[in-house]
Amino acid sequence: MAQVQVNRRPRGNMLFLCIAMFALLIAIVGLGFGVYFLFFQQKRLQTRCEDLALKAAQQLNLNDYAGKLNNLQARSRELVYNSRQLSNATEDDNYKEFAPLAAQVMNQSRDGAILVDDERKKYVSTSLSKLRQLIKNAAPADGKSLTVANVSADAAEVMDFKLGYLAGSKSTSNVEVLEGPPDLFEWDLSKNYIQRGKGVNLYRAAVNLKLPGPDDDLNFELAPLAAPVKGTVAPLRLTSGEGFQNTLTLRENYKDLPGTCKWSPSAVQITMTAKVRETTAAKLEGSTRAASTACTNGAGGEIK
Amino acid sequence: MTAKKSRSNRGGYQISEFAVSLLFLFGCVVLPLLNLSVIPLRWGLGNSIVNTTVGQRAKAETLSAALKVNAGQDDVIGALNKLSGITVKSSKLALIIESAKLQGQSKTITKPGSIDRDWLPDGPLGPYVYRLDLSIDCDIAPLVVLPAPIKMPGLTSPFAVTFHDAAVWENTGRDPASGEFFLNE
Repeated sequence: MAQVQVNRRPRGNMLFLCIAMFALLIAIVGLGFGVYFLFFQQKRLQTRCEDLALKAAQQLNLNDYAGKLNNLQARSRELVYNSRQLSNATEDDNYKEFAPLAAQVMNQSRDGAILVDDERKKYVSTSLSKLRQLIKNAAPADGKSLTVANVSADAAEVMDFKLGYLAGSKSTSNVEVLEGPPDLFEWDLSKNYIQRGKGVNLYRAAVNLKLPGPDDDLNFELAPLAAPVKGTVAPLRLTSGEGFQNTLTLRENYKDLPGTCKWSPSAVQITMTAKVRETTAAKLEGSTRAASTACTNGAGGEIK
Repeated sequence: MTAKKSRSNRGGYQISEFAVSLLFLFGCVVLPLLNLSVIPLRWGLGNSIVNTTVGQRAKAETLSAALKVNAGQDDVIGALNKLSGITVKSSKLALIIESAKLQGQSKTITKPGSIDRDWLPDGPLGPYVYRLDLSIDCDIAPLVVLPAPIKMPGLTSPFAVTFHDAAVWENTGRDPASGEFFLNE
C-alpha cells in the first residue's frame, strides 16, 4: 500500500497582513486622537485666556476706585473754577476785604486738585504693578505640561498683554455734567469736552479738560469708564475686541515692557500661546494661540 | 510508492481563499472605514467653527452687531462651505431669553429692538439668562461618494447633521447715548 506523506509547511502570511492592518488602524486612530487633542487644547487655552482677561479687567476698577477718582477729579475741577471766579470777584472794591479768604480758598482748591491728580497717579501705578504680578503668576516657570498618550501640550504662556479702552466716537467717562456755573458749561461745550446724550451729558475721557487761564497748568484727565445709566451699572464682561484702543503694552512677544499711563485703562487684551507636540513617530511640534479682550465693570452711581 | 505531493497537500488551498478574503477585507472593511472616517474629522472642524463663531458673536457690543450678516455671505456659512465636503442648507441665529421666575418658558428674538420691557434685564421676571443660539443644518459628505441606486448616508449620499451651540450674551449694560440696553439695540 502506498503511503502518502503529507508535508504541511505552515507557511502563510495572513498573520503579517493582520499585524500590518492593525498597525495601520492604530496609526489612523492615533492621528485622529492627535487631531482631537488639538481641538481640546485650543478650547482649553481659550478658556484660560478668557479667565485671565476677566481677572485682569476686574483689577482695573476694583471697588469702583477708578470711577470714584473720576468723579473726584471732575468735582475738584469745578471747585478750582468756582474758587477762581470767587477770587476774581473780590477784585471789586466792594469785596476787597474778602480777597485774602478767597485767595486762600483758591489755593486750597488748587492744592486739592493737584492732590487728587497725584492720587490718581498712585492708583494707576498700583494697578499696573498688580497686573504685572498677574502676568507673572499666569505662566509660572515650572509650568507642568499635559501629556496624553502620544501628544503633549506645554503650559500656556502670555505672549501679549495690552491695556487700553474701547473707543469709537463715544469714548466717555462716567462723570455726569452737573448743573453748575453756566460759564464753565459754555467753556466745556466750546472745547468739545462734553458728550451729549439722551437725558445725561457726560465728560469725555482721555482728554485733558483744561480750565481757562491762569488755571490751565492743572491737569484734569478722566479715565474712560462706562457710566451708570438709569441705575444700570455696566458689568465686567468679555468683548470681541472691536474698537480696542491700546494705550499701554505690558508685555509684547513674551517680553515685559516698562511704562505707565496717565489714567486707568478700562479694557485689557491678552494673547496666550501653548506648544503642542507629537512625541512618538513624527516628532511634530506646533503651537496654538488664543486671544481675548475684556472690559472692566462700569462706575457705580455718584453719591449726590 | 509515494504519492505525488499535490499542491493541496502542501497547503496550497490557502491561495484561492486568500485572494477572496483579502478582497473582502479591503473592499468591504478597510476602504469603507477610511471613506467614513473623514466624516468625524469634518464634523469636528465644523463644530469648532460654529463654537468659535457663536462665542465671538455673543461678545458683540449690540444685538444688531451680533445678528448682522455680511452682504451676500454670512461669515460662518462661508467658512463652513470652504471646508471641503460640507454643504450648508440653513442657519438660524437668535437670542434666547430665559427667566428664572418662569421655568420652562423662554423668548426667542431674531430682530434687534424687539425685546419686550418685561424681558429686559430690569424687567419684573428677572433674573434672566441671555443666550445667543446658533443652529446650522448641513450635509457632510464622505471622502468618496460612491455611486449607487440605494441612498446610504455616509457611503452613497452625504450625512445630514445639525451643528448647534450657544453662548451667554456678555453686554447687559445700557447705552448712555440712548438710554437703551445694548442687547435691545
